[in-house]
Parts: sequence; C-alpha cells; structure tokens
Amino acid sequence: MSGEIEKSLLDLDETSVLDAVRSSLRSGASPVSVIEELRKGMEKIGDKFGVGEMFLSELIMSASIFQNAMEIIKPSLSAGTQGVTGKVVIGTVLGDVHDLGKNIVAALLESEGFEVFDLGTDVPPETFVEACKDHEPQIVGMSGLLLVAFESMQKTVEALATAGIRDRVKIIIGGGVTDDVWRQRLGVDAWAKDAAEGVKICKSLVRGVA
Amino acid sequence: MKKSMTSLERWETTVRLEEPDMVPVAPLLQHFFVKQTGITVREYHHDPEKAMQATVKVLEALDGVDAYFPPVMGTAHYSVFPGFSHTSLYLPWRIEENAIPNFYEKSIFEDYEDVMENGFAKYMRPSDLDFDEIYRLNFELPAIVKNLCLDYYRRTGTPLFIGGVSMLPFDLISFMRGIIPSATDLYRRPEKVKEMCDWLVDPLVALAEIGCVGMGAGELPGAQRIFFWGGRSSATFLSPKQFEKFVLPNMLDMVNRFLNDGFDVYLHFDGDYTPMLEMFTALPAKRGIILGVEKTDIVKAKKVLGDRLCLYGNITTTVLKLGTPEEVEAECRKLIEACAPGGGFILGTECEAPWDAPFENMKAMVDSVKKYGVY
Repeated sequence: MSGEIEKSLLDLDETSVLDAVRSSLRSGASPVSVIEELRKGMEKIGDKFGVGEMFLSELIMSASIFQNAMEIIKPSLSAGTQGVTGKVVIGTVLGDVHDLGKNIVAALLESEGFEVFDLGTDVPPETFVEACKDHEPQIVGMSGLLLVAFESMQKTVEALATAGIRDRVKIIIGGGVTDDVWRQRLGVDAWAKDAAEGVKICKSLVRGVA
Repeated sequence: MKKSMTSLERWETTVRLEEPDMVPVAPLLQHFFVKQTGITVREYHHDPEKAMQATVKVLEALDGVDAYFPPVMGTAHYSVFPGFSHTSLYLPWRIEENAIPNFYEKSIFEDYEDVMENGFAKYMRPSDLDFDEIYRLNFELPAIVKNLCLDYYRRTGTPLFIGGVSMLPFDLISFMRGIIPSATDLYRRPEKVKEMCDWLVDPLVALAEIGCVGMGAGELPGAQRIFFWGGRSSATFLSPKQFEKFVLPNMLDMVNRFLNDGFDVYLHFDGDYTPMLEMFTALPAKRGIILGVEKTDIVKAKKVLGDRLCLYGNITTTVLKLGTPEEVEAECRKLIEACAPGGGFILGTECEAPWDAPFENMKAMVDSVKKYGVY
C-alpha cells in the first residue's frame, strides 16, 4: 500500500483513494498510519498550490476526498490517538458574509489536527473576544472579502487589546482584498495570501506561541 | 496638455490598437457615485434620474473619464432572466437600502438534468420587491436610462463603456451550484457540467444582445459593447487544463457570435488568468476586443496579446482606498509606461473601484493620463 494513497490523492482520483484506504485498513494497517499518508498527500497538494502547480478547485476536491476518506477511517479510530496541534478561533468579520475562503482554511486546519472554533460570518468584535475567553486559542483568524472588513478588523484588534487578550494570541488575516499593507496597518501578526499558506503560517505561529 | 481627440475618438483609436492623443482612462465607478453624492444605494439601483445626476456630478468633478457604466443596477439585481449571477430573483443576494449588495453563496440546484429539461423557473426566490417594481426594473427602466445616457452623450461626447451583460457559462453554473460543489462536480459529474455549459450559450448570447439593443446599440456609442464577465474560471479557481476543457470552447464560441452579430466585447476578467493567457491567442485578433484584468499580470498580457487585443486595467483597489494621491499617481505612471506604447491600453481599475476611495485618489488616477499618458 505504501505511497498508493498519497499518489492517488495527488491525482485527485477519488475512487482509487477510497479503495486504497479500505484495503489498507482491511490488511491491518493502523488507522493513524493511513491518516498520516493522507495528510502527507494533502501537504504535498498544499505545497503545489503554494507554487502555482495546483489550483483552488483541485484543493477543494482534495479536501473533499480527504473528508470522505476520514469517514471510512473514523470507525476504526480509538478516541484520543490524535494530538491537537493547536487551537484557532476563526471568523469572517462584521459586515461581511463571505465564508468560502474561511471554510477552506478551517477544513484544512482541521485536517492538520487543529481544534477550530468557527464563529461563522458577520462576526462582531465582542464575539471574537468571548470566544477567545472561552477557548483560549493560540491563534485568531479574521477573514474578509469586502473593504468594510478593514474597519471591522481594526475594531476587533482593538477589542482584543482592551480585553487584555491581544498579547496572548497571534492574529492572522486573509481573504479577498486583504494584503500585506493591511497586515501592517492593522498591526497583526500575519497575512496569508491563500488557504494553504494560512495553514502553514498557523503551524509556525503555534510553534512560536507554545 | 492639449486634447486633440474626443473621448470616443480616443477610445476607438485605442481599441483599434493604434496610438491616440493620450491614454484613455475609465475607472469602473458605480457605487463610488453613491458615496460621493450621498444618494442611497437603492436610489442608484432604482431611480434613473437620481442615479444619472449622481453619475454626471462625479464625472464632471473628475473631469477626464472617457467612458462610464450605465447607472441603475436594479435591472441586473432583479433580472427575471437568470442569465447573470447578480439576479436576486434566483441567487441568494442580500440587497439593502444603503449597502453594497452582498452574496450569500449557497447551492441553488442539484440536478443538472432537471434544469436542462425544465429550466430555472422553479428555482425563483421570493423577492423584497413587488411584481410592479420588478416589471418596471426589467422592462421600463432600460429605455429611460438609455435616453438619459444618450442625452449626456449629446451634451458632452462621453460614450458608454458597455450596454449589455453576459458571463461565461461555467462561471454562472459555479455561482448557482456554489464554489465547493462546482469544484467537486468537475470530478464527479464532468459530462453534466460540460453539457450545461453548452446548453447555456444560446440564452446567454441572446440576453446580452437584447441588453445592448435596449441600451441603444447603434445609436448610443458604447451601448453595442457587451460586458462579458469571467472570474470563477480564472486560475484563482480553475487549473489551465480545466479552463481549456470547461471554459475556452464556450468563450470562443460566444465572442465569435457577439462579433459576427455586430457587437463589441469587453472581457471583464476578475481573478488571475495569467496561466491561461496563451490560450487567449485563439480569440479573434484586431476585432476590437477589450480584455480587462484584475489580478492577471497585465505586463505579461501586453507581451502575449498586445498586438491582438486592447487591455484594460488594473490600478489596485488597495492603493485607491488606502494610498495617497501620490501613490496612486506612481502606480498609474508605472502601468502606463509598461502598457501604453503602441496603443491598445485603457487605464482602469481592477474590478469596481472601492466605493469609499477618497475623491483625491480617483482624481489622481484620472489626471495621471494627462501627465504620463500623452503619446
């Protein structure tokens, strides 16, 4: 089986991936090792996406195959075998309802072992603050497609500072019109140009915080 | 500097890929008119007189815009024909009194076969408007808007940028199915996606051409041009291979039909099409096509396509909203120097200009052609 799952995933060949997952489990492979192979494939897809060799539709398809594979694996998993990479509170900021990018980031973060608290869309600053108090994440992710997101992100950063949380979290922004100028003006820790980069940054930020 | 051409002459010379007196400039403004004049979004979308007054007031203050979009977007947002992604009668848009309309993406259909057999009628959504207002927006307003724009053209010589609207079939399907299902459909039922793309071509061509005629094609310069929208099909979403299979054949077919029917084409392509540019060489060369780019590398587009079609773009949204007039001017200068030589370049925005950009920034953009864009 070695490498077959990963290769089929890279080819986005869903039937072959799911068949290989089933036969691996049947032949006694540990669920964790199967997940690890899927994860390796996802990581390679993320890398290829990062350098423009794969595209968003392919990233979405790979995430969908991954989810379907996880449905097959889940019953064989005993609870608690998976460690948590880190905690992320994520949401589309107030005044904006675009959540496609945010959803992709959340799904990819989960596939990387993060515990993700997704606050949805049109999220006011105080909801971010409450969620940070409740879940104590290392990372806060703010997403926005519209220009109105700038003011909302500003207010959210201020609210986190007022609540005394700002120094305990790393803040990452992404989506639509955001760019590195936004990162500088908002005084946040990172800007991700796309979902795959966002996940990479979250992983390095968690290492920095922990 | 001395202007020697009218806006229309400047535009037509540029589109013919010859050098005009100076680079034409036409930021895509729309809601910027709303913010600058204090009318509401609803007024801009529904009230032709108020919308046109706002448009004219801002165009006069900017003094130098060579073409503009016809006001009253209510017609698009309440279109009874599902031929454009912005109609709230089929797609989940939230339209408020004074906010830019917001799209709540969700899948509105599952069954491709059913749509192709029975059409979209059963997917219509309840509207916040009554039937009379929807009727007025669809069937009465275009003629009123046309006359207002015609009057403005006669007074000032400013042509329209576009008359009718259309979009790539795959892009429309992606809006209707939702971005995630439309991605997975490419793998799980590719033949259905392809079939429906082809099925959409006839109605989309007809609706665009009817739109142009309604806006005064043949009588009002610019109204014969079709705003042909793409974005979902860019490399921001699709791979070049997927584009070649699911998008390119329809794009070429539709462009050829528009041109052969006597219309002009403005490809308004959001997202990044840089990896697809070589495929665009299959478009008819020197037939007045304008390619507007958002995130596509416009300098590369100039190299690959500059001798075949006219480029439009792409002063960034960020600099217009957050930059200083000096920063806007510097970006315009750089773009003009890279793209203007030989003609075939219109200085424009990425997509629609940010509605709350400072006036001075927009003015700096419009004035930049007088400083740096004289041939």
